[in-house]
Amino acid sequence: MMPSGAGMLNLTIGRLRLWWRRDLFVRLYVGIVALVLLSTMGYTVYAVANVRTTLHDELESRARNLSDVLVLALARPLFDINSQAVDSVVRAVGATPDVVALRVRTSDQRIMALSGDVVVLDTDSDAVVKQLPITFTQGGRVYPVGDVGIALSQDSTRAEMRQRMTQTLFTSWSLAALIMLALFVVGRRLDRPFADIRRALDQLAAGEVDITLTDTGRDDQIGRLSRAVLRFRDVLAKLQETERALRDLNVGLEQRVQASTQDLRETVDLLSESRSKLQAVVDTALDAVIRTDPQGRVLDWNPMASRLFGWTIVEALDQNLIDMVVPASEREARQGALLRLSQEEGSAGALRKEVTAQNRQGREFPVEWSVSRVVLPGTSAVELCFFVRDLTERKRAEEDTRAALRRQAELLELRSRFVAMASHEFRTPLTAILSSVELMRHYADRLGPGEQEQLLVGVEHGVQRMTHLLDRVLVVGKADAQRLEFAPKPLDLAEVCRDVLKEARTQHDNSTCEVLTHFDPEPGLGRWDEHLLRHILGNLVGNAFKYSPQGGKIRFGYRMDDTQVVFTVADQGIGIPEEDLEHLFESFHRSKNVGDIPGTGLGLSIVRSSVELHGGHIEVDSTQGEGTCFTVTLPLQN
Amino acid sequence: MEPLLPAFTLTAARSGPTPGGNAADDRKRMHVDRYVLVRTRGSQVEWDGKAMKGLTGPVGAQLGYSVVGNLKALGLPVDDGSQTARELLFKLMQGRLSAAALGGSDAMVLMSSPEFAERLEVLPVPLVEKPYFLMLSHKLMREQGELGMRFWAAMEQVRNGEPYRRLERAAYEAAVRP
Repeated sequence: MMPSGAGMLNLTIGRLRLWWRRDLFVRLYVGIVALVLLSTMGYTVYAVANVRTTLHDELESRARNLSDVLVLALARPLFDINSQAVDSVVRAVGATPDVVALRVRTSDQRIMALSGDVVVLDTDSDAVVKQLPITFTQGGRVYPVGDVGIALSQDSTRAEMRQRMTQTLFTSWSLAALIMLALFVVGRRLDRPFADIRRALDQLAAGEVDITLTDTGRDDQIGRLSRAVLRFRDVLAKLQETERALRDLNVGLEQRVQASTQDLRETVDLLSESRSKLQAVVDTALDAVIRTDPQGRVLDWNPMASRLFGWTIVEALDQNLIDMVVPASEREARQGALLRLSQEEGSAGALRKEVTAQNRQGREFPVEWSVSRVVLPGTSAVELCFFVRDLTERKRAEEDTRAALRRQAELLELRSRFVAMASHEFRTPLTAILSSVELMRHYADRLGPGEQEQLLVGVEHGVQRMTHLLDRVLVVGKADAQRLEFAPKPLDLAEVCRDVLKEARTQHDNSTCEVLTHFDPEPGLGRWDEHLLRHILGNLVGNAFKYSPQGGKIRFGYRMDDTQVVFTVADQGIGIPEEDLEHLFESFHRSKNVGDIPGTGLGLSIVRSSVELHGGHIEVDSTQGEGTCFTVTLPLQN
Repeated sequence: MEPLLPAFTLTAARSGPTPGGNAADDRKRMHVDRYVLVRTRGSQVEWDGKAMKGLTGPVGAQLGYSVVGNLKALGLPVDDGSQTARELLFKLMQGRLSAAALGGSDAMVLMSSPEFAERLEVLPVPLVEKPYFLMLSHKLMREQGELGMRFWAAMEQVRNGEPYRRLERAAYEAAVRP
């Protein structure tokens, strides 16, 4: 099927483009032709303009010369008003082919001679017109004798210009055609050796080195190029040999490269694994590991740091570490220390200290703050690496240890006091018992029944005293072991108080102290453990008798309201030194000013335990040498 | 008016034969002609028959005319550029001449025209006045002297005849007719 017109055009354009792209000579030829054509056109335009200007100038010059001649020729005839001479001149000049009009006028504008169409002298036309006045000098006088007007036709100028233009065009375009023809011929001649060279290069490109070139003997560029191609062929042949050698070498080299690559890959894997492990170590570290720049901006933040401070890594990155984790009062000092550390000379610096940190919620806690200055390898950049360890548990353990040590010391002290107490409190009744037993053994036959009974009573008292002492020790032990029984029930507090007072008087029957009582008459609605309550009140009232001088006054009573009952036991005894008040309720502790007054140091310890079991509290107000007042407050236990 | 035949004054004829020999017989003349001096009206130029006064420039005369020699002989500046009498008068009117020397008949014809008469005037005393003869060759007079004498006698006879006088008057009238 024949292609359409547009198809033919596209096919032709495509072929021209291919021709243009593939043939350097085509581009060179088209370029030179275009240049020649442009030059020719430019020269033609210039030549035409030049011819026109030249011919116009020539015509002007002729008109000027002719008019000058006329002025000279007509001066005298006009002066003489010699019309015959003027006519002769006008006829002679008017016969000139270019002169289309000639007019001579006298000084009074009278036409003296005419030739041709004088209308062109006074109207616009394309003729070259000259109008000149004529004067004549005689006897030193200058006479204006008339004027001459002459018009020259441009017809001959145009004809000459056309002729010259034709010559110019013919010459220049003939030269252009000759140049193009020469270019075509030279191009055709040049193409053949280049085609040989191209064919040879194609063979070389295909790896064939057996090529022939016919123009190698020339001295011009083609010859040099041909010889260069031959040299290239030689080089290519050598290169092929070298390539074969290289290929052989390359095989071995590839094997070595593969082996090296495998080693490198394994090294990279190891390095990657090492980095992963290191990252895992950092991520799972029990310490917060944080990297910052020298100004303290966070660059890395491990999970422990998130747990410790409460900021996620996303929140922490690029924030100022000091602002985040250091209490406001310490930030300035800590920032200064970091600045000094980051500016230290040398490859590394570090500081480690225990400081107080704060978490996101503002809770402060102790940490061990280790900072090291890291100079990154290969650069002068500096980073700071923080290891922050939470010391809360350690501090707590240390505190527990110290408490245990204190407890141990207290136990040792307690044991010492117990030994001292036991050696004193048990020795006395044991000595009395032992003495009674010795008297009974050696002098039983000499003692009457009453004396034997008295000795037995003494033994009994000693045993009772020791039993009482052991009971109290057991109570203290139970209290310490949290095993004291607490069985509250409604009680008649006044009756209990009177029993306690009566028992105390019995125990201290030698005392002459006056007891002032105030028992609230209202029946109490509370519930108390009677056994423990008797411990509380018995000890306090017994101590009041024990440490009061003879004749002293003791106040004992209680007040009750809807929620609690407040017992008061006050004496005018020896009082308690201030330094003993702190340890007053500890087991086996006795004030330093008790002197020989017997006691176990367990009473007030039992009192405190009993009060605490009731959910109440005990207060003491004492002045050494003036007396002591105990106030016990117990809830009603409803 | 131009002469029909070449005519020469006595001076010119001295190179040739003249009727009556060296003392030319005026009766045999063709005509008597004179040169007059024309000036612009109001001009100071004067001619008393011997001397010319009041000249402010050259005296014009027609090229080749004998009066040129007369004027130069008087030591006057002469401009003999004009070929015709008419042009000479125009030249005088243009102020390029102080005065103009014209043939008497030319002056008579031209001055009859108002074109010139209004601006020019002819002085009464002629510059030159002399007879003009038919000039014959020496050979003719040597070989046929009688024939030559007959020409000159006929000239006298015709000039004095009535027909010639009529022709002369008609020619004058034709010349002065506008």
